[in-house]
Amino acid sequence: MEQLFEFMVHGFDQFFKYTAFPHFTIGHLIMISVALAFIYLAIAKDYEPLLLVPIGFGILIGNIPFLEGANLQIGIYEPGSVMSYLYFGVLKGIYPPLIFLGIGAMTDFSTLLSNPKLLLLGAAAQLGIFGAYMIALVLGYLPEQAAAIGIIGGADGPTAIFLASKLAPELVGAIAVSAYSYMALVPVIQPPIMKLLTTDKERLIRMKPPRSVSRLEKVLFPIVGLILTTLITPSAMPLLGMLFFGNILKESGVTKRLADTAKGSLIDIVTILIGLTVGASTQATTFLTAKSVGIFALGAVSFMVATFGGVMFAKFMNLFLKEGNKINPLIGNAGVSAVPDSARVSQVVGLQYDKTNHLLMHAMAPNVAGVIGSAVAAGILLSFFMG
Amino acid sequence: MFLGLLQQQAAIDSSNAVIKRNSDLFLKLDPFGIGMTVIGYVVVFVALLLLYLLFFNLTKVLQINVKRLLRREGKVIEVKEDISISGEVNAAIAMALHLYYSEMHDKEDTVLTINQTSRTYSPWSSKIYGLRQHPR
Repeated sequence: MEQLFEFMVHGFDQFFKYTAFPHFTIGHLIMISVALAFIYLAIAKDYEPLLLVPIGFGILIGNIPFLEGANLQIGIYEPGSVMSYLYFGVLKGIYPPLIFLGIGAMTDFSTLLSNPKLLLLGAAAQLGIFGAYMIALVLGYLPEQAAAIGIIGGADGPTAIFLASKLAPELVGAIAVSAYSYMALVPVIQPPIMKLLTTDKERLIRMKPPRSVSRLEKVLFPIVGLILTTLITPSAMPLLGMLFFGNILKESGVTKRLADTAKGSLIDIVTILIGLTVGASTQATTFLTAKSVGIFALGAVSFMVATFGGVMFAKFMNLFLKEGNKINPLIGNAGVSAVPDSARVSQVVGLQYDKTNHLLMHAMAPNVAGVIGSAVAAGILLSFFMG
Repeated sequence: MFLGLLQQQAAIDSSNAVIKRNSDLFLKLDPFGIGMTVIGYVVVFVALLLLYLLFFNLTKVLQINVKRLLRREGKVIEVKEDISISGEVNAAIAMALHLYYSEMHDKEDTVLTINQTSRTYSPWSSKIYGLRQHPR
């Protein structure tokens, strides 16, 4: 009888060891709270739900504690687990180019082609990347880590994951979560900076309506764009190649089925996988470090610097533009490539000062230019460190 | 397969070594990242500036081509003006065509016709509603 009792106690003890309870730490609680906050923001506030729901749920999955080191093959960092296989696409930079394919198939470059000078705003806003790089170096991050962190300023989740997976795989989770979180918070971060940097007169500038763009121009853009940008930064080929390939599928007009798949089912599948695994990679035991917290702070700074760069460059361009051709600097913020959130911010802020001045169409131009700009910047950083 | 895995691992190790070497070099030569910032920012600008210049001029070339074609067909006499159409004008034309083809026009053709309908019952033709019922 006593033996049976001992056996039962032992069995219960063993069972208890394998439950989540004895492994719970304050870190897990913090991360679960973060997950709940993400899910709340996505569902209740409609902040980037397609990203925040998978990431938030992924954080929940990744932060249910378990007996680590027992070869249960559960956790994302345990070789052989299902999650580790799915995470492979993040670590090896497979998912980001596939997302870029979908983005290319979704993106209409017409507004950019109708007013190509707005491409320069997409370049100017990349100041956030290099600004954050410098600050990260000062804070003691290694140069390759600083580069991976800096790319958060491009406001482009796939690009950030792509670069981080190559240069600092140990920081992929923190960088991805930071990038996507701040992308969702663009409507909060950008408006104060935009208002601070512009005058009332500038905010009321009306821009010429975009002209219609011929099919030939639209078909030529992905071809010429690919050749030009990848000749300068071949290391950005996986991203730019897929972006422009997706775009030609859309614009050629003869591959509608492929374009539909790229911008529909394919991007949805990859978004689910990338969101879930990036979320799950924030396992408290490996994620909650001073470095991760620093990355979050730097992410916010990089977005601010990027907004500053875009708005100020629009003002700078206005010095050389004739009356009637001037740019409303409120679209400068859209140079960060959070498509279409930052363009929407331009529209909302513009309407606050003139209810009839719709800036959305104009802001989409620097917005899509920002996608190209951040991919080029990622290519430059890659070639510097891997070349 | 095993050989393939080994080769893959060797490639990863070698790229890690390259990153480490370059990282050390950056720490030594450009500890504050100023050089990288200047070069990187300039290269991004150059890439997008080239795209801008190309498409800015391409538009002009295409316009000249269209004007030449129109002139050859004798459709354009004055060729100095800008022939590009704004998106708003395009939208208006598209809407007008859509309304025309889907016959959602706001002007009727002023020909009234009375067509017999196949419907057997309608409150409008019902005797119950149309006639008084006399008490008997």
